[in-house]
Amino acid sequence: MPRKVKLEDIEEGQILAETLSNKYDQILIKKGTSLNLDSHIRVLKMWGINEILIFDDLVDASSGSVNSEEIANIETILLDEIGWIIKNENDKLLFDVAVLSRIGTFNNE
Amino acid sequence: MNKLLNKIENFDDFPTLPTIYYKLVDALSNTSTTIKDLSNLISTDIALSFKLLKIVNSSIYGLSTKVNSIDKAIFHLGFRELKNIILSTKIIEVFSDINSNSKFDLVEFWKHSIAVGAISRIIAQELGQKNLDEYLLSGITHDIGKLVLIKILGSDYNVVFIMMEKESISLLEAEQKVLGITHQEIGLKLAESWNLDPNILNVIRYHNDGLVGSNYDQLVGVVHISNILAKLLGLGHSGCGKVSQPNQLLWRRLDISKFDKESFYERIKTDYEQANEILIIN
Repeated sequence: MPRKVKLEDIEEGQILAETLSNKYDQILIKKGTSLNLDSHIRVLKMWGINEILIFDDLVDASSGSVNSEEIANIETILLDEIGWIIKNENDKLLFDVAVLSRIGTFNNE
Repeated sequence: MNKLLNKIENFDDFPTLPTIYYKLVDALSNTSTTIKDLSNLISTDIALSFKLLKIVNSSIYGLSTKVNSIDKAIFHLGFRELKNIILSTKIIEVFSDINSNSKFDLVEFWKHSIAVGAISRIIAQELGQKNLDEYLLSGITHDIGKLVLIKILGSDYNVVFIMMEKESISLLEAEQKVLGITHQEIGLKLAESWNLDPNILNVIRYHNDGLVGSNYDQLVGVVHISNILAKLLGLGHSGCGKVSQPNQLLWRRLDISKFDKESFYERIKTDYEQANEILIIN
């Protein structure tokens, strides 16, 4: 499970469990990034972010907090809904973005 | 059914765009027009000025400094993009009198159209295009014919949705069957009456195919893909449920497979939400 840590308690190499944005909604650091004490902390301080979510262990981080079974489920449901077959990398990108959007709603629940 | 056809054939009351738009088009076609002239003109419409500043200062533009005057906004946008943005806001206003009903929701319709515009704009930017707001405008206008049909027919248009579901055919097929005319055709008539650019006419006419006849057109292709992605993501609702497969011929010319899916999705979410907030009138 991801947990909250204060800026001063972050350790080098911990994995970010959320995508961080500034007040203009521009992405600062993406979810899954291994944190660097120098550069990343500076960015967070600059935008007044005091607390972040990190993954507790590497197993968590590697599966991105959603287990592969869940992703497989989402993929099956989505394929069934659209009723067409993914034929190439471009179709795949559209499909993957749609899968991502549904993982998001799973996390928020 | 003949009653519906009659209603459409006898309809000659296409909505018009507000005069400020035509004044602006006139000013833009005059080579001696200055930014100051344009900003004076735009400032007469307070709501428009407000929206313009909000758009330019949103994350969609991602400018590093705050733009606090119409002059500066025009400077950042350029004349052509200014026209595209103003059209986008005004077209949504023109149709604000349409009533939603059990099968059609106007806010959901605009959310879908704005999603298509926002996604198109992001793809265009990634592909290195310059006229990004033409992509936004294209999303907003791509299904405009549906609004014309609903304006003419009111809830009678629902017969089309019912036929589409009952016979599992496409919306275009159902329209052809029930009305004898499609939303693409009537949308084209409206856009012609508004004197919109040929590029936009192409989008209205060909976005479902993805190709202009057998030719590749980047704007049409990108809107075709974005329309599909907006439906896959469930952003708004256009009134037709099925998500069709991308036209495979398009992928020979249009390659988005190397996009980073996470940042692409994050941007879609942000730009979509911001554009909705600014453009949709409640």
